[in-house]
Parts: sequence; structure tokens; C-alpha cells
Amino acid sequence: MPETSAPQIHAVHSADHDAIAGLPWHLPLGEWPQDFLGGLPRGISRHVVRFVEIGDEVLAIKETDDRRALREFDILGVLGNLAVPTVEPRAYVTNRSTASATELPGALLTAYLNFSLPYRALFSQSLAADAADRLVDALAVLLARLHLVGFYWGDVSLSNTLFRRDADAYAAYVVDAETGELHDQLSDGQRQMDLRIARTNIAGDFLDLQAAGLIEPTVDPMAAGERLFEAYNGLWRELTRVEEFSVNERWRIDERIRRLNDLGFDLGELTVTTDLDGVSLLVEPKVVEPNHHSRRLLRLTGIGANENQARTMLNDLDSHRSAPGFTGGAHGSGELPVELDEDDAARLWLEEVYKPLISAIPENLTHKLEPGQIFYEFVEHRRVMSRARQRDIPTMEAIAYFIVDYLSNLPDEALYVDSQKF
Amino acid sequence: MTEHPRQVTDDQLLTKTLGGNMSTVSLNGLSHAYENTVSPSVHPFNLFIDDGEFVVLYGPSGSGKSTILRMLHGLEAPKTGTILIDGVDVTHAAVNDRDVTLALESYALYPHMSVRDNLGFALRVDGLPAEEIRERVESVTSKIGLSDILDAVPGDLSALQRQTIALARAVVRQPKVLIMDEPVVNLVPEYQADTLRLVKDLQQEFGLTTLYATADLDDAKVLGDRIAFLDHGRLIGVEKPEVAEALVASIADVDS
Repeated sequence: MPETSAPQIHAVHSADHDAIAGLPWHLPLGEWPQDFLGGLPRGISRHVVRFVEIGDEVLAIKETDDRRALREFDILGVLGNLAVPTVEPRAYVTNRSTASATELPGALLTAYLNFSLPYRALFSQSLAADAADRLVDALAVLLARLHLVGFYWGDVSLSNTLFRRDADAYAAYVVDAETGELHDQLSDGQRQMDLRIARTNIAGDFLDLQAAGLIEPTVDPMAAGERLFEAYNGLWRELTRVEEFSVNERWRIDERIRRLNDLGFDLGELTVTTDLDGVSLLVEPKVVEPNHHSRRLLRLTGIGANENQARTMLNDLDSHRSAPGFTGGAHGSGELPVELDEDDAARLWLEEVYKPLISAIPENLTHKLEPGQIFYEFVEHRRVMSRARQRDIPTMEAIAYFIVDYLSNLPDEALYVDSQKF
Repeated sequence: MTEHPRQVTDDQLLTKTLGGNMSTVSLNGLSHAYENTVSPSVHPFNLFIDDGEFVVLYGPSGSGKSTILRMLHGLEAPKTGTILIDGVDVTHAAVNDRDVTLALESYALYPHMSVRDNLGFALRVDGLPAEEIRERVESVTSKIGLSDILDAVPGDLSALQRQTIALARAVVRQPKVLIMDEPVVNLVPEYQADTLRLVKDLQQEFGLTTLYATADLDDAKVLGDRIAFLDHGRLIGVEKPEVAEALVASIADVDS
């Protein structure tokens, strides 16, 4: 009788260890009993992937060989430390075998990204006409961010990405990094290869959606691949190109910074070189950091939100601050408009707008959308309602209509349930 | 270093004449070094791969075989030397301008697309006309006995059939050079032998100029017309499979 050895479990949080150890590691993942498995949407994978509930959390388990499980675990951890949007590695399991001592592949466990959706699940819903474009745009931003930190993905595709709603756009997350490589800096060839792979894979992703009847036959899958190519190249050029100005045109540096901010990036470091004649400046961004609006919102309010959600909140904060009826709350006389500094204005906006909205959401509706997206949808709903009624709608009234007329009718997206279409 | 000329069969010549894709690879004084490292990852070497030849780059992890493939593919820039494909210098050419295809980078097939579409969609991305795509797909599948499953979807296929489609996906692109980097190392053992046989059959059938990296000497002997032996970033020798064992033994003697 051959001897079996216990699987080796390497968990980030020791509290997860026992629960993970209790899973049926002696069985191939494809043969796990149904009662272990959550019904979540699956993308295309070269591996068997399943979802399990551990405590009050859902983990994705991917079966792969021991060496790759460890490697991807490490890469995802580094990407997380570099603040790249990615799924969070929780554990890897090696040294698996069946009851009859037949070797089994290892496994990588990652935390399920709440409120995220694979592209296939998104296309099974009724989507805005330009949703496909926005998914591709989100992937282009993700790819540029990955390349900035020196990550060559090697298998860029919609299938290897998860998407979260981000105001009227999407935010993309790396979900499969097993082909990836981390370098100090990418070569042009590595970036070109990622783009080449992306263009082919995205066309394939869209053709498959068409074959599944999830998008209209009129959508051009080839155009989706081209769009990524152009969106990425435009963004990359703005993030990295060296510009030459006259020494009298220093204002163009401010213009460059503003353009980067509008794209959602901050300039962490800039190299300005004056030529030998002292006539022109060479300006090169050295460090560009993403999430310009998210970080500003976090600093002002403590709210964590995706970049476009944060942009919406900051705009609302500004318009709240400048509204004719804004009197500074406890800071003002209650009668006359006052000028508050940004920090005080943010605190008031939190108390008068954000918190009343979030705390008014009934418990049974909190799984509809994540808070940042709830706020964006609320602002849009209020805007449409105000236009229809030709008047400003007071915050509490707008909240009540938003919950009853809009939010309650949305599907739950916290843990998207598999509709068997995928 | 011994260079052995190889024979091209009449069938291969016919296939190439029809496909119009004769390809040689010439690596001249090629070397590579990673930034901030003292020792080169690949020391300068010369290697000529004839049209339709199957050369295996054999060596342990860290021997430089993957780096050579990556330079040929355009992922790494050489420190010195040139890369010529059909006599054209592509050393600094963009990835898309080399006509080098990495096969079996992924076994994933699109579940709702037919075999025909899984094989042909990359050609659509490359802008080929529909008629040419159809001809290429049907030509390849007829030669590998898959014509009767062209309208099936991946879920209806056996594991080996899916692997065959994954490999054929690279072949239909008719690249000048096909490269593979340890493609079977992550497969379960029962599929490895079948996949190796498939790789050899397809390469011979289509006479594709091929470079294949492996750390497994048995695989190298089964596949290669010639084997390039690499050790610590140095090309030690290029030999026919029949004398592989002797060369490996001599390398081991030197290392010890």
C-alpha cells in the first residue's frame, strides 16, 4: 500500500490554515463535491478553477503545478505591494496526492474580489452600447499600469481580468498572473509582445462572446483588439514621452501635469534638463503614480473608491461646497455663505451627503453595488430627477427616491451567482 | 563545433513550395546580459538553423536556452551579435516584424467557438482574407486528420485533440520560425508523450524551421534533427541525437 503524505499548506493568514486544510485536497479539484463549491461565474481558464467559502469569505482555487502555484502566489503578492489592481493571494498548496498516492497538481488560493465580474458575466446583463469599448479601455489602463511597474503579463486577455464598476467606466484587475514576469523595466519588445497577445486574445474573447450569442453580430471583434492597441499607445505616450520646450514655456510643464491628472495619474518625479545653450528644456516624467483622484479622496475623507468613483465624489464635494445655500453648517452663521478650507468642506460633505446616503441603504440592498458605485449611481439618479422636475432635489428626498426607484431594482453584484451561461 | 547538414524530404519541399515559406535562422556572435549583472546570461555564440530544421536547445535551468528563444522572439535585446531570418537582419526589429511564433503558449481554447474558428481567428486578426483562412485551416486539419471535427466545439473533444488544435493554431500562421519553450513540462505525464509525438509529426509534416527548449535529454533526442547543448550560458556543441549521450557525459566530466 503506497503511503500518502499530507499536503503542504502555506497560508498568508494563520487563521485560514485549518479551514483550508479541511478541504478535500486528496481529490482532483474537478471532482470536489458540490457542497464545497460556490456558484460563481467562470471565465476561460487553462486550469480547473473552483470557488469555496471559507468562513464569511469566498476563495478562488486554481489547480496548477506546485512550482507555478508558488510563483504566481509570489508575483500576485509583489503586484499587490506595488499597488497594482490584482486579486489577493491567500495561500498555495503543494505536495498533494490522492488516497492511492497518485500525485496531484498544487493549488493557488486567492480572495474573491467582491463586486467584481468577469467580462462574460457583464455581457450576460443588459449593457450600455459602449460597454465593450469601456471594458477594453479599462484593460488598456491596467496594462499601462502593469508596464510602468515592470510587469510583463504574457497572456493579456479579458478572460484573465476581472472588472469592477467604476462610475460610468470599469476598473480592471489582474486575475491570472501565471505567465507574468517582473523586471526592473520592460524592454520595448516585451511591451510589444503583450500588445500583440492582447490584440489577438481580445478579438478571440469577443468572437467567443458572439458565438455564445452574448453580443450582437454587428459588433466587430477585430475593432475591439485595435481599440486596446490605440488606447494603450495613447496613454503610454502621455505617461512616458520626453517633451522639449523653450525655457520661456515652463507653463507647459503645468499643462503636462494637468493632463496626467485628468488621466488619473500623478507625477511623482519629473526630470527637467536644460540644454547646453540654455534655450530649451527636456521634460521627462520619471515616476507617474495612478489613482490621482482616489488618493485625494482618501486623504480628504478616508473613503476608498475606484478612480472614477472618486472623481465623481470630489466633483460632488466641490459643488456642495460652492452651492448657493451652503452656509458652512456648524462652522458658519447659518445665514451667510462661508469659505471653508478643503478639509473642513470635505468633513461637512461627509456628514451632509455621503454618510446619510450610505447609512440609509437598507441591509438587504447592500449587496447590490459597492459604496463608491452606489454614490455615483445616486448622483446620476439625482441629476436625472432634478432635470425632469426642473428643480434641485434636497439630499434626503433624493436618497429616498434613489433607493426605492433605482437601487432596489438592481441585481446583487457582491457575489455574482452563476447563471450557468458561462 | 560540428555542423551536420540535414536532408529535406520531397514532401517537405512540396509543402514549402505551396506555402512559399523557406526560412533559415542565423545567430551570429549573439550574447545577452541582464542589467546589473556581472556575468552574461548567454555568452557569444554562433548557430545556423537550416530551412525546415528542428533544433533543440538542451540544458538545465539557467543554461540560457529560454533567453536565446526570447532574443529570437524579440522579448530580450541581445548584448552583442545579430539575428538573421532568411538573411534579413531582425536583431532590432519589432516583435510583429519577425514572423516568429511561440507555439503552445496556452492550451486554452474558446469554448463557444468551433475548432475551425479557434484555428482561424488569429489569422483574422492578422488581416488575412476569409478564403485564405479557410484554405489554411482546412489544409492543416486535413494533414493531421482533424477534418471531421472542424465544426465541433472544444467541449466535444478529447484532451489530446484539444492539444492538437492548440499546436495547430500556431502552424496555420505559417510562421518563418516556430519556437517552443518547454511546452510539455506542465502537462500530466500521460499527455507528455502524445504531445511530443504531435510536435514532431506536425513539424515534419509542414517542414517548419523550429527551435525547441527543453531540459529533458530524452525529449531532445526524440525531437531534434540536431541538439544544441547549453551549459551556464555557453553553447558547448551542436550534435545529432545519436551522439547526445557522449556529449552530455563529456560536459558532466568538465563540470565535475
